[in-house]
Amino acid sequence: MPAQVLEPVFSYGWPIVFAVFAASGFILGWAAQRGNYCFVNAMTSIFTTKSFERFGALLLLFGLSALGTGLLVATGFIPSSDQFYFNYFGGWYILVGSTIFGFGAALAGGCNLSMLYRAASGYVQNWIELFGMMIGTYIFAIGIWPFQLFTMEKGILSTTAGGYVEYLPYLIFHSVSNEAVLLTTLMLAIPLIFLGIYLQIYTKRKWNKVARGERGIPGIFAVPKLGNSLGLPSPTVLPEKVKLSKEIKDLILLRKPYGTNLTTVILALDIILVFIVGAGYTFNYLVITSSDGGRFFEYIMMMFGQNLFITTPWFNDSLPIVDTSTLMVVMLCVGAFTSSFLSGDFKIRIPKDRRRLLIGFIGGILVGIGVRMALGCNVGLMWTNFAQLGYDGIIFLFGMLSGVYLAVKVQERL
Amino acid sequence: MYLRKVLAPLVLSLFAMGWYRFSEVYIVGSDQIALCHGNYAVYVIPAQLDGYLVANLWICYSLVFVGLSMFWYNLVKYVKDKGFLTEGKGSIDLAFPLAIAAEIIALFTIGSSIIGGDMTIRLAGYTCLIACLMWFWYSLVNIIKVRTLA
Repeated sequence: MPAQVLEPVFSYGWPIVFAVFAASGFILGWAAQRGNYCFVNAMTSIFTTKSFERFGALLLLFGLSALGTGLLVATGFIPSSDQFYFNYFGGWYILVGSTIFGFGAALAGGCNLSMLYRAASGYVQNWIELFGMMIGTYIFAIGIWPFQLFTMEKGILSTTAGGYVEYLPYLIFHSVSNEAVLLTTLMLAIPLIFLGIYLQIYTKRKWNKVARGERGIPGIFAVPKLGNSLGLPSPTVLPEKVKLSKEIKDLILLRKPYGTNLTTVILALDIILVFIVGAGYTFNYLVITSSDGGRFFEYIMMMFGQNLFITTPWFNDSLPIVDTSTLMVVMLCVGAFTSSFLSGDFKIRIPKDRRRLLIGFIGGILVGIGVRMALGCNVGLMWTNFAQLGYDGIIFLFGMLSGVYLAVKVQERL
Repeated sequence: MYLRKVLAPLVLSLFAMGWYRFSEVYIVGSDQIALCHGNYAVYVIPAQLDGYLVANLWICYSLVFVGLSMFWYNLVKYVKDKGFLTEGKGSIDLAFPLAIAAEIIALFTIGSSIIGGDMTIRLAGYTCLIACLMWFWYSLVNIIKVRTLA
């Protein structure tokens, strides 16, 4: 049985750990806002426009994260216990929770990551979704958690432990040696990376055909090829070197949004940074509002003299008063606000159709219930679990896809 | 549009101060309550809580500094664009670097208990301060030049 011990890998102390997690939250918020990175949009576009470009980027993100963390463990730089220590339980609740989450997030118009950066960019609907998520967490804590905990303790359609039990190298090779981790990393990460790249190329080819007029967009007639038959002056073609330096300048000066793949690489590097710095100290992955929706609700109630951690299930056994994710979430909002402010995107936006606010609130409640049932959100569980070399992320991915598909079908009928 | 640009950085600075104050009062207080109730699932050990507060304090200082700098920058742009300063146009160019220099001095005075003798941080501060003063001198020379030519 592998040792489940957590010892700091580097001896710099807690202030540095908190500061780096805060910086990584800032980077996450900044990059996601600039790249308009949304897990739900990536999945919705599969079912609406049949576009796999953003979904391909997601698979690329999972693959790169798994490759980065896996290689760090396989080369002995980070102990394997730091990779599997925070693997949660796995069971029915992940599939059910992720489906509810996908449905709610697609209704509300954003996953947990995009909800936060859009809220910080002035989208009122996402403020309402955030509030709905807090209420959803409370409903979950009172109504669902005691039952879920019972099934987890008794092992009903659930594992009774996390950690190495859910670690793929241990499940496949019954070992957490460097070789086992390396092989598992390559088996998991390489196909994800190739599939992600393939889906992006496939979508680009499809859209190029549409642009050339060879193929119509589903449900739309083929776009006629115009060429230069209208006698319009053709734009001056810039040399490649000049084009690239202009592109870089525009990105730095926030004149242009980041491309999907640039954002993907930044986010993958971000999770690897946190994985190294937090090793042995804390949950060394990116974790967004999934638990912090509950924590911030707890903070609001504190100001009214109510301590939910004394009186309420889930709040009393699942969350420390404060941890690295608290600062990460706060700084994510600050990063998103700063980038939207500096680029001139920041604006308080209230939807003209006020029904969107109600839908956002209901979607937010479902998101709150879903992420708590699944023991994490699209970032804190799905993306993170790929980097942990676990299998819960795969279950979450399929559950979320089915939830998003249901929401698309429901919205088509509304 | 201008109101948003001027006010938003101030809101950011106020949020940073509010968040730190909240952490100091409510989070530390709640941790004590959790300890008194023997709830070790939510209790945070002192080393970790101190680490949080120290990092939070520095983040607070940085955000206040960045927020105020953005506020000054946008205020100057606003005043210039509105044409409020037609006669004494140069005074705002002189006041801007001085205001930022004053902010840096205030930041380091407040944070001296944490910085202690850390020369790396102090050197960064001195560099910023000197840059602000050079900026001030540059603006002053520019104004004198423009007035002489006029």
